[in-house]
Amino acid sequence: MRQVYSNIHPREIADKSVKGNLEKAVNMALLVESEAVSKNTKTFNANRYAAKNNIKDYQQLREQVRRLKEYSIEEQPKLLKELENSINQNGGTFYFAKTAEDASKYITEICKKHNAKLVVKAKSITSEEIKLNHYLQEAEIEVAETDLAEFILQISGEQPSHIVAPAIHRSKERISALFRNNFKTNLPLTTGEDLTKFAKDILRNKFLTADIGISGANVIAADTGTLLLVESEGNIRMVTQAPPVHIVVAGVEKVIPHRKDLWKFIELLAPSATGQNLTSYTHIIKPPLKIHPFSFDGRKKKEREFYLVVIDNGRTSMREDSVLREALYCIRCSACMNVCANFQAVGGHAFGGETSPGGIGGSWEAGTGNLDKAIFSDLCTGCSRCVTECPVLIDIPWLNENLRYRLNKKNIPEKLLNIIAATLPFENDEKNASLQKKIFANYYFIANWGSKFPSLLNTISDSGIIKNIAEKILKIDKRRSLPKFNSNTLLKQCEKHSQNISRANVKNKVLLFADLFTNFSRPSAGIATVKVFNKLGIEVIISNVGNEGRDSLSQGFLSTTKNRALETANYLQKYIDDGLDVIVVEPSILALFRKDYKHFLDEKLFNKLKHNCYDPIEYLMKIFDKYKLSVKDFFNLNPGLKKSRIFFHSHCQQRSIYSEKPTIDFFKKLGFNLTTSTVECCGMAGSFGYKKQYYDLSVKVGKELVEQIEDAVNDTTDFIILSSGVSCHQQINDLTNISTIHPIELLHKCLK
Amino acid sequence: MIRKFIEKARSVETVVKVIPKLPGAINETLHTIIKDDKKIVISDFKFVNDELLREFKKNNSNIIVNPPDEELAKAKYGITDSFAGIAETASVCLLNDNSMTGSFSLFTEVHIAFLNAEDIVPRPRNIFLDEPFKSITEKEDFIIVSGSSATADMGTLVRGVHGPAKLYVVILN
Repeated sequence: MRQVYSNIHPREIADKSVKGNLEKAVNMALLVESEAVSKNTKTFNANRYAAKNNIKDYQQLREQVRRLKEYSIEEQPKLLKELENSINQNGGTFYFAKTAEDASKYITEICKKHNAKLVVKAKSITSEEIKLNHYLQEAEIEVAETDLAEFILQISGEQPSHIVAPAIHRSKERISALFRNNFKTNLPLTTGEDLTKFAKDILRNKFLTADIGISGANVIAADTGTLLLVESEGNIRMVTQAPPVHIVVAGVEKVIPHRKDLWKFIELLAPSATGQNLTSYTHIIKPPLKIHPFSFDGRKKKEREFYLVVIDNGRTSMREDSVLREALYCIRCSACMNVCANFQAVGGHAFGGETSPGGIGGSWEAGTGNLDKAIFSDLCTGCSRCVTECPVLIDIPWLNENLRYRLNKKNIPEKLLNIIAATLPFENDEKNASLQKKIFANYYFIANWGSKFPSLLNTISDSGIIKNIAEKILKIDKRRSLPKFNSNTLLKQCEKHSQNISRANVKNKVLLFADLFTNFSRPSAGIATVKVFNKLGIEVIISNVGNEGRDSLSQGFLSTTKNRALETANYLQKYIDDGLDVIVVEPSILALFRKDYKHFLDEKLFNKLKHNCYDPIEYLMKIFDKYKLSVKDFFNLNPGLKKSRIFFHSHCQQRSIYSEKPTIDFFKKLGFNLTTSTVECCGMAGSFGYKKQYYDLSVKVGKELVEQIEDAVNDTTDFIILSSGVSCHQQINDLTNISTIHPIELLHKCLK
Repeated sequence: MIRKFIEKARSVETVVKVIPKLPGAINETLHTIIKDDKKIVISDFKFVNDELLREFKKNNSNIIVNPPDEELAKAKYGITDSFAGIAETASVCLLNDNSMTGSFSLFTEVHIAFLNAEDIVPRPRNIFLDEPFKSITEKEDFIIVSGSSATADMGTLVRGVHGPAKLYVVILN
């Protein structure tokens, strides 16, 4: 099987609308491309974090660029007219192409008009989108890709796997083998220097003899027809200077009003992309260039000419679509890809389509191609690490949840099996979703039933036969242990025991929201919260458990999620209006209240939840600060705990709502020496890691966390692993057999 | 500002030399950089007084004056001026016009850029917002050079791809 997958060429499986291609691509990428992708994306990721920290007004800058992009897309028709005038005034030619075919044919005609034999091209994802090379080659015009990554891909025939570094999936060794095989050379080509020199010697000659240069543009200012182009290799400098004719091909979304605003993109783009302060070369040009035309190689001098081809190809429809419009704000920096744990593991040949990779790629494939091509957006687990990292604040998981919703509607359901699913609640517009999605969208009902007959169901779920059936019908991987059901839910335990509230200190009352995961899967964390809060003098009211909608949102069941959000928010609102703060133990549910509900609730109600819901330790931190309490009055590190090594893995969504820091700070205050994980996600991501088609990917992502845990605990047996999310607990437990506890449970152990 | 420029330049392997605005100092500095007899091209200076290069130019047969295009692609050293420097990014800003600054800093293996110390600004935004740079950047074609030509596409960071492998910035203080 490994052999079969490793022999698949990425181009064969680029179109994910073909059934089976996504699964094949994930397996191929895990076997062949994972190592290089992982190393390179993680380097970009670490560099970006460092670069961001060095920009003191980074938040302001990203908000400025976001507003500028919003304005530009809103005013696009007006800006395009202004741009056309500017280009004409500069002595260039402006062309608006409605479709990809229109654009490619027009560019080919220009090349023919100039009797072009050789075209040198700089990297342009838009030219990939319109399949420009195909048209030029049909017209017998040689195309030389001059960005070294694109040079590699032109030889290998592969599609880009990343927007900034298109050949990120190829290791040095694989590039060397490709060159040696293709060019039949005996040169050693073992180092990066060897490979670069080999390619640049070929390309230098192409630059000097090319008839036409074609590039993209990062940003275009309408007022002056100015282009912003960023690069490091110098090939864009060559493409724009060496040949007499320069053609720029760019999507309409690249146009902004004013040249004077270009600095905002200059300062934001490189730090967000590769983590550099700036790339080696940043061009601000208003072609045609004023440099005299060159006549290398004895060629006759020709006057400089410039053509700007702006492309619609579905972008106008994206602009009118309130969800896909967000993708038009993208500045193509790749931060969303580099920070994504799944992308780090497989790259854009699996997590990507024919042109556009990554979490944002699904919206582009749907917008400029068709919805079916966006099916790879299923690899977005909604972990939301990209939300905090996107420099223009695009809520990429929300785009993908919408794509999932639209794809669910188009799905042809498994008729017989759906009779089973008919017993589950879903809305009419979700009826076509697959059985697997329907089951995972209704985890609440399964957990609820499971808690009523735990012994029976736990015995059944451990049986090999049931696991085989679950794998066959529901595509739940049989290597995964199924969650254990517990009749002793948080609600039941709280009903049984009265609270012992300390008289001293804080006289306060909070609502502990019995979220789906804490109530059914991790009641011990809820009980620990009650006990710690009681010790401080805080009375804890336990909510009735409801379905908040995390399960349905993850499967793209937006109508169901809206109902669940409204029901939950209306319930919580009553308590909040009575002056109670709401404590939420499970980070994915807290993130739902603070972030995702904005898509389902009116602003007033959403803000009420956003500003009054807390992680338990985040709330403790607030109380300790407010009442100026000393941790030493309430907690005590016994000698055993003092010696223990403590490793904390914070849930991805907890990090994205910035609620992990209070936990780290609180344990530091207590005197714990805490090691924290640096992985972006554990790889489980709720139901994702259970799905047969993604099990190997989930484990691949999880293994990095396991390595960090092993490094941290070294070979001692005296350690404690903390995980804030139920899903993370499940993943760590499955991969290591180690049981983790929630941080609040450790605090409970430390109570005086 | 100069200190910041030098600190940031280190991370992108740009060599910075801070010297007085004197022909003798410039001559000496250029000879420490250029140690072979390979060809040199020098752009028309607009922002740095080119009289300061007179000692270096005197009797230097390696300098190609007004090079034909064929020679341009063969020169090893490209000497240019710059209209601004950016401390936070260790960048020099070059005009991309008929002064040949843009070309001499591209086709050559080693780029030596002269920069007046008083033309260093803190961040990229300053060349767009502050005079006298604003008058240049709002209409001229220009390039912000923030290191030598580089790639990471071949598995490791390699300097010297389609542009110069080495960037020297000579700050005239």
